Amino acid sequence: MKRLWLLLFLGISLALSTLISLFLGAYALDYKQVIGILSLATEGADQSLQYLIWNIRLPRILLCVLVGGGLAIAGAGIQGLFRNPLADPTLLGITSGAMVFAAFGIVFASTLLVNLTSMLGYSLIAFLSFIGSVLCTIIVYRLGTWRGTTSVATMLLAGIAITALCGAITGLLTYISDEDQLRDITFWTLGSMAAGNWKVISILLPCVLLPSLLLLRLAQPLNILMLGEREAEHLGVNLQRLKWAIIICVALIVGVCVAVSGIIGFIALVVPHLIRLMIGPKHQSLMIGSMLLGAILMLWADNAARTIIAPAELPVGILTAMFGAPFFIGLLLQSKKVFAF
Amino acid sequence: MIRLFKDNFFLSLVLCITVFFQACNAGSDSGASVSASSEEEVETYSRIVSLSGAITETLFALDLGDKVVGIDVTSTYPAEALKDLAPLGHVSRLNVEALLALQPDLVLVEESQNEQPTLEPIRAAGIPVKVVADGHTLERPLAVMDSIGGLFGKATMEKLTKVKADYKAQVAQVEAILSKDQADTEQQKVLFIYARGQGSMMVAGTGTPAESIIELAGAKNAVSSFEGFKALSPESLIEAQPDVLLLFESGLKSLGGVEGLLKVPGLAETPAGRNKHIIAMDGLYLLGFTPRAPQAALELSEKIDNVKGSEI
Repeated sequence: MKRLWLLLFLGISLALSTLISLFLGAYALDYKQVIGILSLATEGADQSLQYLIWNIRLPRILLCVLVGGGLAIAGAGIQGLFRNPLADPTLLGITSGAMVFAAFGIVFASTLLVNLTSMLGYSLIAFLSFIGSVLCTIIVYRLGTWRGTTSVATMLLAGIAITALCGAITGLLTYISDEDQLRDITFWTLGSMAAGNWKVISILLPCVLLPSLLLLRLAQPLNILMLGEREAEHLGVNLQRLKWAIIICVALIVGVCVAVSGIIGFIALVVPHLIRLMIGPKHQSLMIGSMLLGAILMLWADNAARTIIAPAELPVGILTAMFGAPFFIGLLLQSKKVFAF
Repeated sequence: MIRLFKDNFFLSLVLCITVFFQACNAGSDSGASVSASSEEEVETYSRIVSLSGAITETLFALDLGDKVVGIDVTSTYPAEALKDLAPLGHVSRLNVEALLALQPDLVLVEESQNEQPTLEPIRAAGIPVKVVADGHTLERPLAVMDSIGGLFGKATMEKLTKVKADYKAQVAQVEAILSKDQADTEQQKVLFIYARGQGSMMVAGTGTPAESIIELAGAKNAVSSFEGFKALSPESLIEAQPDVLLLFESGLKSLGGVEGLLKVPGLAETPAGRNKHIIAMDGLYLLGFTPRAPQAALELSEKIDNVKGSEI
C-alpha cells in the first residue's frame, strides 16, 4: 500500500513539475501568455512566443523527463542484475565508450571524419557516441561470456578494464586536442539538455520507452535473482536470457541518452537507491519509482541550469550531482540502515 | 520475446542507427547561412547579438554599438560600453531562451563557429544569423568591417569608408616603423604560452594567430617544429630556447604571476626564464585581430625591444 501511495505521489509530482517547468525560463513570460499559447489560442499570440514554448521549452522538458527517467530505470536494472549497490551503467563501459567516440568526433570532425561531418552535421557527436556506447557494451558482454554463460563478476572486471582503456584513449585525445576542442570535450562530459528539439524527442521516445517496458517485464525474474544465481536458476529463471536482455535494454537506453545529452552523473547510480530506501527492493515498484523520480530530479536540475545564471547557462551534469548527493546523504543518515542487498 | 530480441539484435541495432542517422541528416540541411547582404535588408537591424569579441569591437568602431543588445564571453572591448549588455556565455553553450528574450533581429558569429548546434534553434526561430570571416592577418579587420558595414545603410557606409581609411593608414604607419626596426636588429625568438593554470599550458606552433602577431611585431616564433597548439613540456621548452615569453594577462594570472610562471619545470633554463623576459597582454587585443591589431603589433614590438634593452 505504501508503495502505491509513493508511486502515486511521484506521478503527481512529475506531472506538476512538468507543468511548472513550462512557466520557467530565461525568457520572462507571464503565466497568462503561457496558458494562452498552451490552449492553442492562436489569434493575438506572438509567433515567436509560440515558437519558444512549443519548440524550445516543451521539447527540452520532455528530453529531461526521458533522459532522467531512462537513466534511472537503467540504473535500477543494472543494480538488480549485478546485485551490487555500486553498480551503474558506467560499469558496463557504456559511458566511457560514448566518451571516447565523442572525443574522437570532436577532435577529428574537420580532418579524418570530414565526410561524415558533412553528412551528419550537428549530429556527428551524438551518432558517434551512440555507436561507442553500444560497441563497448558488446565488448564487455563478450568478455564476460564463456561457453554460453555470462559471469557477472567477470563482466564487472571487464567493464572496469574497458573503462580504464577508454579513459586512457580519451586522455590521449585530450592531449592532442586544440583549445576549442578541449573546451568542447570538457563541456560534453558535463552534460547539457540544450539539444532538445522534436526530432531528438521522436528518436529518444521509442529508444527509451520500449526497453523500459521490457525491463519492467523482467522485474519478476530480477526479484527472484535477489536470492542468488543458483537459486534463481532452480526456480526456473533463464539466467542467460535475463542477463542478455537487461544488458541490451540498458545499453540502448543509456546509449541514446548519453548521445543526446552528454554525461549526466548521479541519476543512474543514486535514484534507485533512494527509491529502495523508501519502498524496498521489489523491482516492479522500484523501476517505476526510479523512472518517475529520475525524471523529476532531471527536470529540476535543468530548470536550475537554465535559469540561475541566465542569460548564460550552467552545465546540468554539475547540478544533478550537486542537488542529489546531499539529498542522498541526508536520506542515508535518516534511515541509518544498511542497503537492502 | 527475449529470444526474438536476441536473434534480431544486430538487425535492430542497424535499424536504430539508420533511423538515428537519417533523422540527424535531415536536421543538418537547415545549417546553411547567409553571409551576403542584399539591398532590401539595409538599415533594418536595430537589435544585434554579437557572438565574438572581434565582431563586437568592430560594431563599436563603426558607431553601431548602441544597437548591440547581447554579447558572448569573448567580447571584452570596449569594456565600459559592454558593462550593461546581456552576457550570453560562450557560443557553444548559449542559453537560447535568454538570447531570444533579447528579441534580436540579427545574430553575428565568426565563420569557425557557424556549425555550432546552439545556433540551429536561433535560425529556426527566424532570426538571421550571419557569419563574419575568420583569420589572423591585418586584412581580416577590413573584411569584418566590410561584411558588417554592408548590412547597414548609408550613414554607416560613410563611417565605414572613414574607419577603413584610418585603419589602412595605421597599418601603413605601423608597417613602416616595424620594417625599419627589423632592419637594424636581430630577431628575437618569442614563445607564446596559452595557460589556464599550472596543469594546462599550451604553446603556439606554426599557423597560429600567435605566430602571426609575433611575426607582425618583427620577431620570430620560437617554435617551428609543429602546427597549431601543443601541450608544453620541459624538454620542448629548452629545445625552443625562447628569448621572450608571451602570455595573456589572464593566463599569467592563472599561473600565479611571473613568480608562478618561473616555477614551471624547464623554464628557468631558457634565455627568457633566466632574464625574466616575460610579456603579458590582453587576449582579445593581442590575438583577436580586431581593428586594434596594428596597434597591438606595434605595442608587442615595443615590449620586445624593452625587455631586450633591459638585458644589457
